[in-house]
Amino acid sequence: MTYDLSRQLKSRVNSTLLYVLVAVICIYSFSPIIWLILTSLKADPQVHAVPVEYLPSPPTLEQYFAVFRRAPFHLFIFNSVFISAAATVVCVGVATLAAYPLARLRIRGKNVLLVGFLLISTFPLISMMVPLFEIFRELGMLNQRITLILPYAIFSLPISIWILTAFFREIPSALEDSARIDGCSSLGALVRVVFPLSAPGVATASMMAFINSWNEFTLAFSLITDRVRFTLPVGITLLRDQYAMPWGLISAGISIAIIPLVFLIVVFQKTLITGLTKGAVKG
Amino acid sequence: MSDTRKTHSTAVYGYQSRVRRLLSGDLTEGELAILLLLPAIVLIFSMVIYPVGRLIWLSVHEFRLTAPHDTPFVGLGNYMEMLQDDRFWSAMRVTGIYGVGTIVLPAALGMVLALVVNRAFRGRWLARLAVILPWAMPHSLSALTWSWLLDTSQGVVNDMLLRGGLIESRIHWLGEPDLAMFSLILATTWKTASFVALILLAGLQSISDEFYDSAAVDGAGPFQRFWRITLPMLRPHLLIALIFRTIVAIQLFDFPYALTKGGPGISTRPLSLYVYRVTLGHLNFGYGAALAIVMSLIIIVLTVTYMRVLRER
Repeated sequence: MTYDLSRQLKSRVNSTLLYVLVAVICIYSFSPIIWLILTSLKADPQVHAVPVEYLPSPPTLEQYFAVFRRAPFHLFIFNSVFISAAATVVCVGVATLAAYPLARLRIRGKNVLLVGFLLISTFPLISMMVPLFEIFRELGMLNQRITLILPYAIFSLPISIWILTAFFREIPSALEDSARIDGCSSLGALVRVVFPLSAPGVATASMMAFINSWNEFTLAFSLITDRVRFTLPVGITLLRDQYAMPWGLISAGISIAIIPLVFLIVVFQKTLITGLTKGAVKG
Repeated sequence: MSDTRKTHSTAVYGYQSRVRRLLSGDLTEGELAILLLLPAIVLIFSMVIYPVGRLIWLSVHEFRLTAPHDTPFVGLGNYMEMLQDDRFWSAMRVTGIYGVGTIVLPAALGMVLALVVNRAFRGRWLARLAVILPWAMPHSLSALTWSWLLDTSQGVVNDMLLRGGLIESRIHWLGEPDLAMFSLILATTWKTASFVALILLAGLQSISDEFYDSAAVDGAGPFQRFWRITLPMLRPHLLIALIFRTIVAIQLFDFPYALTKGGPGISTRPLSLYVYRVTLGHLNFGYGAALAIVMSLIIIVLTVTYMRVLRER
Protein backbone atom coordinates (compact mmCIF):
# COMPACT_ATOMS: atom_id res chain seq x y z
CA MET A 1 0.00 0.00 0.00
CA THR A 2 2.63 2.52 1.00
CA TYR A 3 4.75 1.21 -1.84
CA ASP A 4 1.93 1.83 -4.31
CA LEU A 5 1.36 5.28 -2.95
CA SER A 6 4.97 6.33 -3.17
CA ARG A 7 5.15 4.94 -6.65
CA GLN A 8 2.09 6.87 -7.69
CA LEU A 9 3.57 9.97 -6.20
CA LYS A 10 6.80 9.36 -8.03
CA SER A 11 5.13 8.97 -11.40
CA ARG A 12 3.06 12.10 -10.69
CA VAL A 13 6.25 14.03 -9.94
CA ASN A 14 7.88 12.58 -13.04
CA SER A 15 5.09 13.57 -15.36
CA THR A 16 4.90 17.05 -13.86
CA LEU A 17 8.62 17.41 -14.36
CA LEU A 18 8.24 16.25 -17.95
CA TYR A 19 5.55 18.84 -18.64
CA VAL A 20 7.62 21.58 -17.07
CA LEU A 21 10.52 20.60 -19.36
CA VAL A 22 8.23 20.50 -22.37
CA ALA A 23 6.88 23.94 -21.52
CA VAL A 24 10.41 25.31 -21.22
CA ILE A 25 11.34 23.79 -24.58
CA CYS A 26 8.27 25.21 -26.29
CA ILE A 27 8.83 28.69 -24.87
CA TYR A 28 12.51 28.56 -25.79
CA SER A 29 11.90 27.41 -29.36
CA PHE A 30 8.78 29.34 -30.20
CA SER A 31 9.42 32.69 -28.54
CA PRO A 32 11.64 34.17 -31.28
CA ILE A 33 9.05 33.14 -33.84
CA ILE A 34 6.13 34.41 -31.77
CA TRP A 35 7.95 37.70 -31.39
CA LEU A 36 8.31 37.91 -35.18
CA ILE A 37 4.61 37.32 -35.66
CA LEU A 38 3.68 39.90 -33.00
CA THR A 39 6.02 42.41 -34.62
CA SER A 40 4.57 41.74 -38.04
CA LEU A 41 1.09 42.64 -36.75
CA LYS A 42 2.10 46.06 -35.41
CA ALA A 43 2.01 49.42 -37.16
CA ASP A 44 5.38 51.08 -37.70
CA PRO A 45 5.48 53.49 -34.73
CA GLN A 46 4.64 50.64 -32.38
CA VAL A 47 7.31 48.37 -33.90
CA HIS A 48 10.05 50.80 -32.99
CA ALA A 49 8.60 51.99 -29.68
CA VAL A 50 10.99 52.30 -26.73
CA PRO A 51 10.30 50.87 -24.18
CA VAL A 52 9.02 47.89 -26.14
CA GLU A 53 5.24 47.51 -26.52
CA TYR A 54 4.52 43.84 -26.41
CA LEU A 55 1.09 43.33 -27.90
CA PRO A 56 -0.01 44.85 -31.20
CA SER A 57 -2.77 47.37 -30.52
CA PRO A 58 -4.67 47.35 -32.69
CA PRO A 59 -3.38 44.37 -34.69
CA THR A 60 -2.99 45.25 -38.36
CA LEU A 61 -1.99 43.48 -41.54
CA GLU A 62 -0.43 46.69 -42.85
CA GLN A 63 3.12 45.25 -42.81
CA TYR A 64 2.04 42.31 -44.94
CA PHE A 65 0.55 44.61 -47.58
CA ALA A 66 3.52 46.96 -47.37
CA VAL A 67 6.05 44.19 -47.99
CA PHE A 68 4.43 43.48 -51.36
CA ARG A 69 4.35 47.19 -52.21
CA ARG A 70 7.93 47.85 -51.14
CA ALA A 71 9.57 44.93 -52.96
CA PRO A 72 8.58 42.49 -55.72
CA PHE A 73 7.75 40.06 -52.94
CA HIS A 74 5.41 37.95 -55.09
CA LEU A 75 8.42 37.33 -57.36
CA PHE A 76 10.60 36.32 -54.40
CA ILE A 77 7.96 33.77 -53.46
CA PHE A 78 7.68 32.52 -57.03
CA ASN A 79 11.47 32.26 -57.40
CA SER A 80 11.84 30.36 -54.14
CA VAL A 81 9.01 27.94 -54.95
CA PHE A 82 10.22 27.37 -58.50
CA ILE A 83 13.90 26.89 -57.67
CA SER A 84 13.30 24.73 -54.59
CA ALA A 85 10.76 22.52 -56.34
CA ALA A 86 12.96 22.04 -59.41
CA ALA A 87 16.06 21.33 -57.31
CA THR A 88 14.10 18.82 -55.22
CA VAL A 89 12.85 16.98 -58.30
CA VAL A 90 16.32 16.83 -59.87
CA CYS A 91 18.00 15.84 -56.62
CA VAL A 92 15.58 13.14 -55.54
CA GLY A 93 15.22 11.80 -59.08
CA VAL A 94 18.96 11.42 -59.53
CA ALA A 95 19.41 10.14 -55.96
CA THR A 96 16.71 7.50 -56.39
CA LEU A 97 18.37 6.18 -59.53
CA ALA A 98 21.80 6.14 -57.94
CA ALA A 99 20.71 4.66 -54.62
CA TYR A 100 19.25 1.54 -56.18
CA PRO A 101 22.45 0.03 -57.59
CA LEU A 102 24.30 1.11 -54.46
CA ALA A 103 21.84 -0.74 -52.24
CA ARG A 104 21.11 -3.76 -54.35
CA LEU A 105 23.37 -4.71 -57.17
CA ARG A 106 26.57 -6.65 -56.76
CA ILE A 107 28.97 -4.24 -58.38
CA ARG A 108 32.60 -3.51 -57.71
CA GLY A 109 33.64 -0.25 -56.14
CA LYS A 110 30.25 0.21 -54.49
CA ASN A 111 31.61 1.25 -51.12
CA VAL A 112 34.11 3.59 -52.68
CA LEU A 113 31.23 5.34 -54.42
CA LEU A 114 29.14 5.54 -51.23
CA VAL A 115 31.98 7.09 -49.25
CA GLY A 116 32.75 9.34 -52.22
CA PHE A 117 29.20 10.66 -52.22
CA LEU A 118 29.47 11.38 -48.51
CA LEU A 119 32.79 13.19 -48.85
CA ILE A 120 31.27 15.56 -51.38
CA SER A 121 29.24 17.20 -48.68
CA THR A 122 32.40 18.09 -46.78
CA PHE A 123 33.33 20.63 -49.42
CA PRO A 124 32.08 23.91 -48.08
CA LEU A 125 29.65 25.83 -50.19
CA ILE A 126 31.57 29.02 -49.70
CA SER A 127 34.70 27.47 -51.21
CA MET A 128 32.76 26.34 -54.28
CA MET A 129 31.48 29.84 -54.80
CA VAL A 130 34.34 31.11 -56.96
CA PRO A 131 34.48 28.17 -59.42
CA LEU A 132 30.69 28.07 -59.65
CA PHE A 133 30.66 31.82 -60.21
CA GLU A 134 33.14 31.34 -63.06
CA ILE A 135 31.31 28.39 -64.61
CA PHE A 136 28.04 30.26 -64.66
CA ARG A 137 29.70 33.41 -65.96
CA GLU A 138 31.23 31.39 -68.83
CA LEU A 139 27.84 29.86 -69.57
CA GLY A 140 26.24 33.30 -69.42
CA MET A 141 24.03 32.02 -66.66
CA LEU A 142 24.76 34.46 -63.86
CA ASN A 143 21.67 36.15 -62.58
CA GLN A 144 19.14 33.61 -63.73
CA ARG A 145 16.69 31.50 -61.83
CA ILE A 146 17.80 28.21 -63.34
CA THR A 147 21.39 28.86 -62.28
CA LEU A 148 20.65 27.88 -58.70
CA ILE A 149 18.82 24.65 -59.47
CA LEU A 150 21.78 22.37 -60.19
CA PRO A 151 24.00 23.50 -57.30
CA TYR A 152 21.06 23.16 -54.89
CA ALA A 153 20.30 19.70 -56.23
CA ILE A 154 23.92 18.69 -55.64
CA PHE A 155 24.05 19.97 -52.08
CA SER A 156 21.21 17.70 -51.00
CA LEU A 157 22.35 14.79 -53.15
CA PRO A 158 24.60 13.05 -50.58
CA ILE A 159 21.99 12.97 -47.82
CA SER A 160 19.27 11.90 -50.28
CA ILE A 161 21.35 9.07 -51.72
CA TRP A 162 22.14 8.01 -48.23
CA ILE A 163 18.53 7.92 -46.98
CA LEU A 164 17.29 6.18 -50.12
CA THR A 165 20.05 3.56 -50.15
CA ALA A 166 18.97 2.57 -46.65
CA PHE A 167 15.35 2.31 -47.79
CA PHE A 168 16.11 0.16 -50.81
CA ARG A 169 18.04 -2.25 -48.65
CA GLU A 170 14.95 -2.86 -46.54
CA ILE A 171 12.76 -3.94 -49.45
CA PRO A 172 12.92 -7.75 -49.74
CA SER A 173 14.47 -8.75 -53.05
CA ALA A 174 12.01 -11.64 -53.26
CA LEU A 175 9.42 -9.08 -54.37
CA GLU A 176 11.57 -8.06 -57.29
CA ASP A 177 12.37 -11.65 -58.20
CA SER A 178 8.69 -12.52 -58.40
CA ALA A 179 8.08 -9.48 -60.60
CA ARG A 180 10.84 -10.72 -62.88
CA ILE A 181 9.26 -14.16 -63.03
CA ASP A 182 5.92 -12.55 -63.93
CA GLY A 183 7.67 -11.13 -66.99
CA CYS A 184 8.88 -7.70 -65.84
CA SER A 185 12.20 -6.48 -67.24
CA SER A 186 14.87 -5.45 -64.73
CA LEU A 187 13.98 -1.81 -65.32
CA GLY A 188 10.28 -2.62 -65.11
CA ALA A 189 10.73 -4.36 -61.75
CA LEU A 190 12.50 -1.27 -60.49
CA VAL A 191 9.80 1.15 -61.59
CA ARG A 192 6.78 -0.96 -60.61
CA VAL A 193 7.94 -2.62 -57.41
CA VAL A 194 10.88 -0.93 -55.77
CA PHE A 195 10.05 2.76 -56.25
CA PRO A 196 6.47 2.60 -54.91
CA LEU A 197 7.62 0.72 -51.81
CA SER A 198 10.22 3.31 -51.00
CA ALA A 199 7.73 6.20 -50.96
CA PRO A 200 8.46 7.20 -47.31
CA GLY A 201 12.17 7.39 -48.09
CA VAL A 202 11.46 9.50 -51.15
CA ALA A 203 9.25 11.78 -49.02
CA THR A 204 11.95 12.26 -46.39
CA ALA A 205 14.66 12.93 -48.96
CA SER A 206 12.36 15.36 -50.80
CA MET A 207 11.63 17.24 -47.62
CA MET A 208 15.31 17.53 -46.81
CA ALA A 209 16.12 18.72 -50.33
CA PHE A 210 13.25 21.18 -50.41
CA ILE A 211 14.05 22.74 -47.04
CA ASN A 212 17.77 22.98 -47.86
CA SER A 213 17.02 24.73 -51.13
CA TRP A 214 14.32 26.97 -49.68
CA ASN A 215 16.74 28.15 -47.02
CA GLU A 216 19.98 28.59 -48.95
CA PHE A 217 21.38 32.09 -48.78
CA THR A 218 25.10 32.31 -49.56
CA LEU A 219 25.04 31.15 -53.16
CA ALA A 220 21.83 32.93 -54.05
CA PHE A 221 23.30 36.08 -52.55
CA SER A 222 26.52 35.75 -54.61
CA LEU A 223 25.20 34.59 -57.98
CA ILE A 224 22.03 36.62 -58.26
CA THR A 225 22.17 40.39 -58.26
CA ASP A 226 19.01 41.20 -60.14
CA ARG A 227 16.28 42.06 -57.65
CA VAL A 228 13.41 40.40 -59.50
CA ARG A 229 15.29 37.09 -59.37
CA PHE A 230 16.03 37.07 -55.64
CA THR A 231 14.89 34.15 -53.55
CA LEU A 232 13.04 34.80 -50.28
CA PRO A 233 16.03 34.67 -47.89
CA VAL A 234 18.01 37.13 -50.02
CA GLY A 235 15.00 39.34 -50.77
CA ILE A 236 14.10 39.61 -47.09
CA THR A 237 17.66 40.26 -45.95
CA LEU A 238 17.94 43.09 -48.46
CA LEU A 239 14.69 44.74 -47.42
CA ARG A 240 16.76 47.03 -45.21
CA ASP A 241 16.96 50.58 -46.32
CA GLN A 242 19.89 52.89 -45.83
CA TYR A 243 18.89 54.46 -42.57
CA ALA A 244 17.14 51.90 -40.42
CA MET A 245 16.06 48.30 -40.42
CA PRO A 246 12.36 48.13 -41.29
CA TRP A 247 11.71 45.41 -38.71
CA GLY A 248 7.97 45.39 -39.30
CA LEU A 249 8.44 44.57 -42.97
CA ILE A 250 11.19 42.05 -42.27
CA SER A 251 9.06 40.28 -39.66
CA ALA A 252 6.16 40.06 -42.07
CA GLY A 253 8.49 38.74 -44.78
CA ILE A 254 10.00 36.07 -42.54
CA SER A 255 6.56 35.01 -41.30
CA ILE A 256 5.50 34.46 -44.91
CA ALA A 257 8.70 32.56 -45.71
CA ILE A 258 8.29 30.08 -42.85
CA ILE A 259 4.62 29.23 -43.46
CA PRO A 260 5.41 26.38 -45.88
CA LEU A 261 8.04 25.04 -43.47
CA VAL A 262 5.62 24.89 -40.54
CA PHE A 263 3.08 23.21 -42.81
CA LEU A 264 5.60 20.61 -44.02
CA ILE A 265 6.71 19.75 -40.50
CA VAL A 266 3.22 19.47 -39.05
CA VAL A 267 2.04 17.23 -41.89
CA PHE A 268 5.15 15.11 -42.44
CA GLN A 269 6.58 14.98 -38.91
CA LYS A 270 6.18 11.21 -38.58
CA THR A 271 7.41 10.41 -42.07
CA LEU A 272 10.45 12.59 -41.55
CA ILE A 273 11.43 10.93 -38.26
CA THR A 274 10.86 7.38 -39.53
CA GLY A 275 12.65 8.18 -42.76
CA LEU A 276 15.67 9.40 -40.84
CA THR A 277 15.50 6.46 -38.43
CA LYS A 278 16.05 4.04 -41.29
CA GLY A 279 18.43 6.28 -43.20
CA ALA A 280 20.77 6.93 -40.32
CA VAL A 281 21.13 3.42 -38.98
CA LYS A 282 22.34 1.93 -42.20
CA GLY A 283 24.47 4.91 -43.16
CA MET B 1 40.82 -12.72 -94.11
CA SER B 2 37.78 -14.81 -93.53
CA ASP B 3 38.64 -14.86 -89.86
CA THR B 4 38.55 -11.08 -89.68
CA ARG B 5 35.20 -10.95 -91.41
CA LYS B 6 33.78 -13.50 -89.06
CA THR B 7 34.95 -11.62 -85.99
CA HIS B 8 33.59 -8.42 -87.46
CA SER B 9 30.17 -9.86 -88.14
CA THR B 10 29.97 -11.37 -84.67
CA ALA B 11 30.82 -7.99 -83.23
CA VAL B 12 28.10 -6.33 -85.28
CA TYR B 13 25.65 -9.01 -84.37
CA GLY B 14 26.60 -8.72 -80.67
CA TYR B 15 26.22 -4.97 -80.85
CA GLN B 16 22.80 -5.16 -82.48
CA SER B 17 21.46 -7.70 -80.05
CA ARG B 18 22.77 -5.64 -77.21
CA VAL B 19 20.96 -2.55 -78.47
CA ARG B 20 17.79 -4.60 -78.86
CA ARG B 21 18.19 -5.93 -75.34
CA LEU B 22 18.85 -2.43 -73.96
CA LEU B 23 15.80 -1.04 -75.72
CA SER B 24 13.59 -3.75 -74.27
CA GLY B 25 14.78 -2.66 -70.81
CA ASP B 26 16.38 -5.99 -70.00
CA LEU B 27 19.85 -5.20 -68.74
CA THR B 28 22.61 -7.04 -66.99
CA GLU B 29 23.32 -5.85 -63.46
CA GLY B 30 26.46 -3.99 -64.45
CA GLU B 31 24.74 -2.13 -67.27
CA LEU B 32 21.80 -1.23 -65.08
CA ALA B 33 24.16 0.03 -62.39
CA ILE B 34 26.07 2.25 -64.80
CA LEU B 35 22.88 3.58 -66.37
CA LEU B 36 21.38 4.45 -63.00
CA LEU B 37 24.54 5.94 -61.53
CA LEU B 38 25.31 8.01 -64.62
CA PRO B 39 23.16 11.08 -63.83
CA ALA B 40 24.57 11.36 -60.31
CA ILE B 41 28.12 11.01 -61.54
CA VAL B 42 27.68 13.57 -64.33
CA LEU B 43 26.06 16.03 -61.94
CA ILE B 44 28.74 15.59 -59.33
CA PHE B 45 31.52 15.83 -61.87
CA SER B 46 30.26 19.09 -63.33
CA MET B 47 29.31 20.78 -60.08
CA VAL B 48 31.87 19.36 -57.63
CA ILE B 49 34.89 17.66 -59.19
CA TYR B 50 35.47 20.35 -61.79
CA PRO B 51 35.01 23.25 -59.34
CA VAL B 52 37.35 21.60 -56.82
CA GLY B 53 39.99 21.16 -59.54
CA ARG B 54 39.53 24.75 -60.60
CA LEU B 55 39.82 25.85 -56.98
CA ILE B 56 43.13 24.04 -56.61
CA TRP B 57 44.37 25.62 -59.84
CA LEU B 58 43.34 29.09 -58.68
CA SER B 59 45.03 28.61 -55.33
CA VAL B 60 48.47 28.23 -56.93
CA HIS B 61 48.07 31.22 -59.23
CA GLU B 62 47.95 34.93 -58.79
CA PHE B 63 44.47 35.64 -60.05
CA ARG B 64 42.65 38.90 -59.61
CA LEU B 65 39.44 39.62 -61.39
CA THR B 66 40.76 43.15 -61.92
CA ALA B 67 43.53 41.68 -64.14
CA PRO B 68 42.07 38.44 -65.50
CA HIS B 69 44.69 37.87 -68.21
CA ASP B 70 47.73 38.30 -66.04
CA THR B 71 47.76 35.12 -63.98
CA PRO B 72 51.30 33.99 -63.13
CA PHE B 73 51.91 30.67 -61.42
CA VAL B 74 52.93 31.36 -57.84
CA GLY B 75 53.21 27.83 -56.45
CA LEU B 76 52.50 27.86 -52.77
CA GLY B 77 52.80 31.63 -52.68
CA ASN B 78 49.19 32.18 -51.68
CA TYR B 79 49.56 29.66 -48.87
CA MET B 80 52.76 31.32 -47.67
CA GLU B 81 50.99 34.66 -47.71
CA MET B 82 48.44 33.20 -45.33
CA LEU B 83 51.12 32.48 -42.72
CA GLN B 84 51.97 36.18 -42.57
CA ASP B 85 48.39 37.37 -42.75
CA ASP B 86 47.15 38.54 -39.34
CA ARG B 87 43.59 38.67 -40.61
CA PHE B 88 43.79 35.02 -41.59
CA TRP B 89 44.96 34.04 -38.10
CA SER B 90 42.26 36.14 -36.53
CA ALA B 91 39.71 34.38 -38.76
CA MET B 92 41.15 30.99 -37.75
CA ARG B 93 40.84 31.89 -34.08
CA VAL B 94 37.24 33.06 -34.52
CA THR B 95 36.36 29.93 -36.52
CA GLY B 96 37.94 27.81 -33.78
CA ILE B 97 36.05 29.42 -30.89
CA TYR B 98 32.83 29.69 -32.85
CA GLY B 99 33.22 26.13 -34.15
CA VAL B 100 33.77 24.57 -30.74
CA GLY B 101 30.92 26.58 -29.23
CA THR B 102 28.42 25.79 -31.95
CA ILE B 103 29.28 22.11 -32.06
CA VAL B 104 29.43 21.35 -28.33
CA LEU B 105 26.47 23.42 -27.13
CA PRO B 106 24.02 22.31 -29.83
CA ALA B 107 25.11 18.69 -29.37
CA ALA B 108 24.43 18.80 -25.63
CA LEU B 109 21.21 20.74 -25.93
CA GLY B 110 20.07 18.64 -28.90
CA MET B 111 20.51 15.51 -26.80
CA VAL B 112 18.29 16.93 -24.04
CA LEU B 113 15.64 18.02 -26.54
CA ALA B 114 15.61 14.63 -28.22
CA LEU B 115 15.35 12.73 -24.94
CA VAL B 116 12.37 14.83 -23.80
CA VAL B 117 10.31 14.68 -27.00
CA ASN B 118 11.03 10.98 -27.40
CA ARG B 119 8.79 10.33 -24.35
CA ALA B 120 5.11 9.70 -24.89
CA PHE B 121 2.83 12.49 -23.64
CA ARG B 122 -0.22 14.45 -24.71
CA GLY B 123 0.51 17.27 -27.12
CA ARG B 124 3.77 15.72 -28.17
CA TRP B 125 3.33 16.88 -31.78
CA LEU B 126 3.51 20.49 -30.58
CA ALA B 127 6.70 19.83 -28.62
CA ARG B 128 8.15 18.06 -31.64
CA LEU B 129 7.23 21.00 -33.84
CA ALA B 130 9.03 23.23 -31.32
CA VAL B 131 12.10 21.03 -31.54
CA ILE B 132 12.16 20.68 -35.34
CA LEU B 133 11.08 24.18 -36.42
CA PRO B 134 14.38 25.99 -35.80
CA TRP B 135 16.09 23.37 -37.99
CA ALA B 136 13.71 24.11 -40.84
CA MET B 137 14.05 27.88 -40.52
CA PRO B 138 16.54 29.45 -42.90
CA HIS B 139 19.88 30.25 -41.25
CA SER B 140 19.86 33.72 -42.74
CA LEU B 141 16.38 34.55 -41.50
CA SER B 142 16.96 33.10 -38.03
CA ALA B 143 20.08 35.22 -37.86
CA LEU B 144 18.12 38.28 -38.90
CA THR B 145 15.50 37.49 -36.27
CA TRP B 146 18.15 37.28 -33.57
CA SER B 147 19.69 40.58 -34.57
CA TRP B 148 16.22 42.07 -34.01
CA LEU B 149 15.82 40.37 -30.61
CA LEU B 150 19.28 41.49 -29.49
CA ASP B 151 19.04 45.04 -30.81
CA THR B 152 20.46 47.37 -28.17
CA SER B 153 17.74 50.01 -28.01
CA GLN B 154 14.65 48.36 -29.50
CA GLY B 155 15.42 44.71 -28.81
CA VAL B 156 13.06 42.67 -26.68
CA VAL B 157 15.87 40.87 -24.82
CA ASN B 158 17.23 44.07 -23.29
CA ASP B 159 13.71 45.29 -22.59
CA MET B 160 12.78 42.14 -20.69
CA LEU B 161 16.00 42.14 -18.68
CA LEU B 162 15.46 45.82 -17.81
CA ARG B 163 11.86 45.27 -16.75
CA GLY B 164 12.86 42.23 -14.76
CA GLY B 165 15.46 44.37 -12.98
CA LEU B 166 18.24 41.98 -14.02
CA ILE B 167 20.29 44.69 -15.69
CA GLU B 168 20.56 48.40 -14.99
CA SER B 169 21.47 49.66 -18.44
CA ARG B 170 21.11 48.31 -21.94
CA ILE B 171 23.65 45.74 -23.02
CA HIS B 172 25.41 46.05 -26.39
CA TRP B 173 25.01 42.37 -27.21
CA LEU B 174 26.70 42.67 -30.57
CA GLY B 175 28.86 45.69 -29.93
CA GLU B 176 31.77 44.36 -27.85
CA PRO B 177 34.13 41.65 -29.11
CA ASP B 178 33.70 38.96 -26.44
CA LEU B 179 30.04 39.63 -25.86
CA ALA B 180 29.37 39.61 -29.61
CA MET B 181 31.02 36.20 -29.90
CA PHE B 182 28.95 34.94 -26.97
CA SER B 183 25.70 36.22 -28.52
CA LEU B 184 26.66 34.76 -31.88
CA ILE B 185 27.22 31.33 -30.35
CA LEU B 186 23.97 31.42 -28.36
CA ALA B 187 21.89 32.52 -31.35
CA THR B 188 23.46 29.84 -33.55
CA THR B 189 22.81 27.25 -30.86
CA TRP B 190 19.10 28.09 -30.88
CA LYS B 191 18.99 27.36 -34.59
CA THR B 192 21.26 24.32 -34.77
CA ALA B 193 20.52 22.27 -31.64
CA SER B 194 17.34 21.45 -33.50
CA PHE B 195 19.16 19.52 -36.21
CA VAL B 196 21.08 17.43 -33.67
CA ALA B 197 17.81 16.76 -31.83
CA LEU B 198 16.11 15.61 -35.03
CA ILE B 199 18.84 13.13 -35.90
CA LEU B 200 19.11 11.84 -32.31
CA LEU B 201 15.33 11.55 -32.05
CA ALA B 202 15.40 9.33 -35.13
CA GLY B 203 18.14 7.34 -33.40
CA LEU B 204 16.19 6.99 -30.15
CA GLN B 205 13.25 5.60 -32.10
CA SER B 206 15.41 2.78 -33.37
CA ILE B 207 16.42 1.57 -29.89
CA SER B 208 14.22 -1.34 -28.93
CA ASP B 209 12.34 -1.14 -25.60
CA GLU B 210 13.63 -4.58 -24.69
CA PHE B 211 17.01 -3.14 -23.77
CA TYR B 212 15.41 -0.78 -21.28
CA ASP B 213 13.12 -3.49 -19.90
CA SER B 214 15.98 -5.81 -19.15
CA ALA B 215 17.98 -2.93 -17.68
CA ALA B 216 15.02 -2.10 -15.43
CA VAL B 217 14.92 -5.71 -14.26
CA ASP B 218 18.58 -5.42 -13.37
CA GLY B 219 17.70 -2.33 -11.34
CA ALA B 220 19.52 0.24 -13.45
CA GLY B 221 18.64 3.87 -12.66
CA PRO B 222 17.89 6.50 -15.30
CA PHE B 223 21.48 7.76 -15.47
CA GLN B 224 22.90 4.27 -15.77
CA ARG B 225 20.39 3.50 -18.49
CA PHE B 226 21.49 6.63 -20.35
CA TRP B 227 25.22 5.83 -20.11
CA ARG B 228 24.97 2.09 -20.65
CA ILE B 229 22.24 1.83 -23.29
CA THR B 230 21.16 5.11 -24.87
CA LEU B 231 24.53 6.68 -25.50
CA PRO B 232 26.26 3.59 -26.97
CA MET B 233 23.25 2.79 -29.15
CA LEU B 234 23.13 6.37 -30.38
CA ARG B 235 26.76 6.32 -31.45
CA PRO B 236 26.09 6.17 -35.22
CA HIS B 237 23.52 8.96 -35.00
CA LEU B 238 25.78 11.08 -32.87
CA LEU B 239 28.49 10.57 -35.46
CA ILE B 240 26.22 11.71 -38.26
CA ALA B 241 24.94 14.70 -36.30
CA LEU B 242 28.50 15.75 -35.40
CA ILE B 243 29.78 15.39 -38.95
CA PHE B 244 27.03 17.49 -40.48
CA ARG B 245 27.12 19.99 -37.60
CA THR B 246 30.88 20.43 -38.07
CA ILE B 247 30.58 20.90 -41.82
CA VAL B 248 28.01 23.63 -41.28
CA ALA B 249 29.70 25.23 -38.26
CA ILE B 250 33.07 25.67 -39.95
CA GLN B 251 31.60 27.18 -43.09
CA LEU B 252 28.71 29.07 -41.54
CA PHE B 253 28.24 32.42 -43.19
CA ASP B 254 24.71 33.59 -42.53
CA PHE B 255 24.81 34.08 -38.75
CA PRO B 256 28.01 36.15 -38.55
CA TYR B 257 26.99 38.02 -41.69
CA ALA B 258 23.58 39.03 -40.38
CA LEU B 259 24.43 39.47 -36.70
CA THR B 260 27.84 41.16 -36.57
CA LYS B 261 29.21 41.44 -40.11
CA GLY B 262 32.37 40.13 -38.44
CA GLY B 263 32.55 43.12 -36.14
CA PRO B 264 33.30 45.01 -34.07
CA GLY B 265 36.38 45.34 -36.27
CA ILE B 266 37.20 41.82 -37.33
CA SER B 267 36.78 40.34 -33.86
CA THR B 268 33.99 37.95 -34.88
CA ARG B 269 34.92 37.41 -38.52
CA PRO B 270 35.29 33.68 -39.24
CA LEU B 271 37.06 32.12 -42.24
CA SER B 272 33.88 31.95 -44.29
CA LEU B 273 33.34 35.71 -44.09
CA TYR B 274 37.02 36.34 -44.78
CA VAL B 275 36.91 34.12 -47.88
CA TYR B 276 33.87 36.06 -49.02
CA ARG B 277 35.56 39.40 -48.38
CA VAL B 278 38.79 38.45 -50.18
CA THR B 279 36.97 36.87 -53.10
CA LEU B 280 33.98 39.04 -53.85
CA GLY B 281 35.17 42.15 -52.01
CA HIS B 282 38.80 42.39 -53.13
CA LEU B 283 38.22 40.17 -56.22
CA ASN B 284 41.42 38.33 -55.30
CA PHE B 285 40.34 34.89 -56.51
CA GLY B 286 43.73 33.21 -56.10
CA TYR B 287 44.16 34.02 -52.43
CA GLY B 288 40.46 33.41 -51.81
CA ALA B 289 40.76 29.94 -53.33
CA ALA B 290 43.75 29.10 -51.13
CA LEU B 291 41.77 30.20 -48.06
CA ALA B 292 38.80 28.11 -49.19
CA ILE B 293 40.99 25.05 -49.61
CA VAL B 294 42.40 25.44 -46.11
CA MET B 295 38.83 25.63 -44.85
CA SER B 296 37.87 22.44 -46.72
CA LEU B 297 40.93 20.66 -45.35
CA ILE B 298 39.98 21.57 -41.79
CA ILE B 299 36.52 20.10 -42.34
CA ILE B 300 37.86 16.93 -43.96
CA VAL B 301 40.40 16.36 -41.17
CA LEU B 302 37.71 16.82 -38.51
CA THR B 303 35.27 14.53 -40.32
CA VAL B 304 37.83 11.76 -40.66
CA THR B 305 38.79 12.15 -36.99
CA TYR B 306 35.18 11.74 -35.87
CA MET B 307 34.82 8.66 -38.03
CA ARG B 308 37.93 7.14 -36.46
CA VAL B 309 36.95 7.95 -32.90
CA LEU B 310 33.25 7.11 -33.05
CA ARG B 311 33.27 4.22 -35.51
CA GLU B 312 35.86 2.15 -33.71
CA ARG B 313 34.89 0.01 -30.72
